[in-house]
Amino acid sequence: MTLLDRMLERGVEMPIDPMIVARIERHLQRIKPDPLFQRRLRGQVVNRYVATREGMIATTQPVRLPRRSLSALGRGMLYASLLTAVSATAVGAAAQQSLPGDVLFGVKLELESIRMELAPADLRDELAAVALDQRLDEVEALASAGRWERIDAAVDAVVHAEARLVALRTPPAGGATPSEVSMPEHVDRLTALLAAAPDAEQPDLMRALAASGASPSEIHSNRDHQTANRGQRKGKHAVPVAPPASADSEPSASVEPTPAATPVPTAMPTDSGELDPSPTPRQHGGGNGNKDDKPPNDHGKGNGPTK
Amino acid sequence: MSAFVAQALREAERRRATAPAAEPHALDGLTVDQLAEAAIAGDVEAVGRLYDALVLPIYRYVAVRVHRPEDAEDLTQLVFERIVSSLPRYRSRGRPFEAWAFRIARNAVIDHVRRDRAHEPLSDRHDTAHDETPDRLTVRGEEVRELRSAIRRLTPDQQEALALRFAAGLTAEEAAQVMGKRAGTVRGLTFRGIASLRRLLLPEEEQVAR
Repeated sequence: MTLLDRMLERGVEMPIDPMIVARIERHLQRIKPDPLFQRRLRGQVVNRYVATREGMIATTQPVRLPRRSLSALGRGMLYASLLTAVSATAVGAAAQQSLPGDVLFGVKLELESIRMELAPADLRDELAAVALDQRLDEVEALASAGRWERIDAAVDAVVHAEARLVALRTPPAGGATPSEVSMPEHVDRLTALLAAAPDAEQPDLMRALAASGASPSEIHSNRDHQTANRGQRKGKHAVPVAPPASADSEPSASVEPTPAATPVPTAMPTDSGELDPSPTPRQHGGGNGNKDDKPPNDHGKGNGPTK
Repeated sequence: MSAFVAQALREAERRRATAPAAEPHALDGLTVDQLAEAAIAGDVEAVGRLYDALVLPIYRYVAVRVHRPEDAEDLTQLVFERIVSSLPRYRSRGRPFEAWAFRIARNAVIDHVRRDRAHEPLSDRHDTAHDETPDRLTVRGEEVRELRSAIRRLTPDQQEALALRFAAGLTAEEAAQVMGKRAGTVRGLTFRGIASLRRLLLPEEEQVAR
């Protein structure tokens, strides 16, 4: 690097031959756009700006689309194709129709886990919400069929799906606590089931409700409403009146079925009889085949009550 | 020019001269960067003002790089289309708006030159004015041809630096951002480019005398 380069690098403006500069300036002064062209172009520019702002003209896009710019539909299609590839086996197809307690129900949950792993991070909470909805469908399907003996396994799956959704929707630090995540539709559906369930199965549903963070008044009012309308509801969420509980069925040791006049606790009682403010969903039983990380079982209930 | 057109032009000039001064506008006195911010925020008037501020330097920059007036107009139009289309995605990040706009212009010129390698002979149509006598036009045309011929003998980077600094009116720092070089490098290119022009344009005895 020469001395001149070093001086220029430091911001020193070297004297430039004024005669040459004047000649260049004189030449440039005469370069002017045609006034008509200039006026016409001004109108075009303003019109184009307005059209772009109104969305009539797309803004320029880079040639290489960033990954995040894939539309929701595009991502859905990509994702659906991956899912199809994963589940396009006879076993996979059959597993999609399985219910808790079925042999293939574990396969169904595994496929969902794979789907969750493949999905982009920002879609996972949506998938978890879909999974929870599906678990509730399964509970309702079992209740409709009067197969209450499988409700325990189904509730396990509901609680696990709730825990996963809460974990995905809760910010890592300083955000809402799990109990603050709102799932009003979920609570409605569970209280509808609670109103229809035999007494022996109510503790299981209460467990799912407690894990969802529903307030006692919410559960209470919903339950009264659902009880009053029992037998009148039609359609997907209609649950038939369950047969009376058998004499040998025992209520859960940890959670008593709540009488209609008694407020339902939001949280699960601990061994000491106090309510745990942040209920942790119980651990899955081994029967459903879900091998995901399981929340600890600290509410005094094992893999299911003795029926 | 017909007498009718000449009379109409004179009348228009007279009306402009006697027209009352326009009311001061909120955008008056804003810098190009401030106009760009207003335009991004949705101010249509700011877009017009931005165009007014940039059209001449962009046209001149393009014109000295492509030689033909028709190409200069086409490219100027293309540059403004791209500026308007890309405006919603513009983020300042401490870079002047003019540097961003001239980068678009530079890319458009480079694309054009690549497509149109075979340049026509130098045209002095940029440099004609309606009020010059034929003699003056001849002298002026000769001077311009010499200057253009000399500029073409500079290195591409020197030509680019001179076009950005003199035709576009950018500072060394702004030109450096457009060219993707350091400001000191642009100063060096400018200095050496002018020195080369002096050698090429001034007679040898005049160079010695200076």
